[in-house]
Amino acid sequence: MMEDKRSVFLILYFSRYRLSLWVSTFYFVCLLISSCEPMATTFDDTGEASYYSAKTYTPVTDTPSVIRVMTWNIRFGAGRILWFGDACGERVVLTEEEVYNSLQAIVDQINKIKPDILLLQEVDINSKRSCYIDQLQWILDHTWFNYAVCGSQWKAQFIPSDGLGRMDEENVILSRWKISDAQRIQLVLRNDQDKLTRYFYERCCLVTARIEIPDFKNFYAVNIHASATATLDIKQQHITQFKNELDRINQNGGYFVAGGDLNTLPPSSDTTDYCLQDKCSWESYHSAGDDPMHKEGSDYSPEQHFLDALYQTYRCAVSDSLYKSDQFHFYTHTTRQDHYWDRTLDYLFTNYKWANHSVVVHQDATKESDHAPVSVLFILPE
Amino acid sequence: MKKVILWLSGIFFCFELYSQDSLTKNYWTDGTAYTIPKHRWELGLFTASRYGLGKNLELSAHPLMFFLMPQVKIKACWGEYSGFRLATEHGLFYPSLFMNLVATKGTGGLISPEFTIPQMFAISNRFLLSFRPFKKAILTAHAGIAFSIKFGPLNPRSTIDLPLIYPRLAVFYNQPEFDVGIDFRGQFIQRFGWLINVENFIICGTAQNYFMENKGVLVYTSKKETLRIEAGYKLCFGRYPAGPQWHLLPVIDLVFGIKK
Repeated sequence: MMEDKRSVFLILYFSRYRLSLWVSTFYFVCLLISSCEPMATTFDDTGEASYYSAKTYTPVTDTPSVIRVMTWNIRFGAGRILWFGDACGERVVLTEEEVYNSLQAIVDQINKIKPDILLLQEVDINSKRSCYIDQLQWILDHTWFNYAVCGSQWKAQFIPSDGLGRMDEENVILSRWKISDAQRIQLVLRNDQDKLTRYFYERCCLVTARIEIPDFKNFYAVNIHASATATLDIKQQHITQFKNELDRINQNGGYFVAGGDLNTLPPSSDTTDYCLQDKCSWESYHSAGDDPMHKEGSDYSPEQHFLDALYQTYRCAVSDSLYKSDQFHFYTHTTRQDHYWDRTLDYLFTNYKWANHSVVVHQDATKESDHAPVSVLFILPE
Repeated sequence: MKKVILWLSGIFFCFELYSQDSLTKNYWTDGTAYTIPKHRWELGLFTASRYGLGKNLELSAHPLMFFLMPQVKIKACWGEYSGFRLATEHGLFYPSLFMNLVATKGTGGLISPEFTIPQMFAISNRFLLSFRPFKKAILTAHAGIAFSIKFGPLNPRSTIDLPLIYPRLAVFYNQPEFDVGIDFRGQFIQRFGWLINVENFIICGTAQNYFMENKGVLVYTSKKETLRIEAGYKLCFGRYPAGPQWHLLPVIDLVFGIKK
């Protein structure tokens, strides 16, 4: 009898308990959605990018004939920490020390390579997960770059999931020379998520900007971070939008260096399915009865020809023949903390000339991010 | 300036003319030094519910949040001196249950699941001093202090950086927390009232040390004083970990009154 009473009490208590949670969550969400600042930021198809400059100007005295261009996904200063979103980890909010240590390692690598133009992806400027550190300003102030522009990839006042909180992740172009006409171009949004998830989810973009190198007026940099986990048609559209923008610059007589994290493999990759490499210990793929059969974002088999048009129209820093000759040396990414690079996701393209044999995938940078930086020398047209 | 004063005086005079009973019966007195009548219940949908324990003693708690984030307050009125009514309010707040519940994976995770929230309590005490500049208006000044007791370490990265929530949980991360503010309310036509208040939170030992909330609402009270509807705004400013921020939020509440 006593146990019955206790059960009834517990049922009543927890039903009210759950009701309380829902009512309070609903109240706060309603309150914030209806507040002046939207919970998540949405963007126009094309909008102006944000401009940054270094605290102290580093004079550019040389008149270059070649410049070094580099792309790097810096993973918001998380280094190789087992973050919950991309590395089967439990971590969500990093410590200040972790972020600054990682940023210092990134800056050391940048200062060693000394690129003139740098395309960065996943740069946090005001996110809870990275202790609200303005990583872009910090990198600007600790390298020889004078200017930067950025476009938001993921911006929300508060994401009520996994303790993510405030998010502001950017795609960035850094330059020693002045930057103008910077634009953020929205890539197609995912359409396979429920409305709530889509509202708070990242909004992939590319950033274009004119780099004002003296005596060389019509030169552009384009930075993209394409979706890693969208459906095939959306991933294809991201690549198409990227190529369309390059075509537009090319048709207008401009020169460009373009690149970023395309989240797809080169056309002639030997391995295209990384489900087993990427799976978390509690997951199972490729076995009878597994649903889904493949891990989201790890099976590139259906995407093998996504980059064909780009390779055929423009010059990739790592040409198809070079890649075929030694794929291992051009791998730029791994999802596993203690493993070496196992696939290529990061690219640089131009419609002019790369200096022969100048491309380097800096595979020694194993601790700074889950992507390796790729740099190459661009020959400025006379 | 004189014009503004005259204009405001005019408004208050109008309020005076058209004021009704709610205030004198002490039905609408949360945030003032007055207590609700003995044995009267007031059940708020979003704000705290109140019960008149005695002539000068009032108990308040949030009916729904009580099961997640229990907060109980007792207000005692100590008398009226030269038109000034003095009360003290003493509260006990236990947020561990709620914080552990929202330290979860997936949707609803306001705190990262990597953090464990210890058992902890906050104790708050405040003075309230009210007087009636007009017959149907109450002006209240209040000041208080809160401090917390924790039975384990609380990770400073486990904050919920949202308006309304952050300043109320701040005392568990840094203390003591002081609050000072002013509340001004009255009635202007039959069954309709107004309220403007400003509340400041000052937290010691951190750079995120100041939060301000300004509320303005219009209030409708039913004829038999059994229902009160409040609607208005809340303007919040705070020095959050992400930097200074303003928020303008809507405020809607229903309060059901039972017995006198």
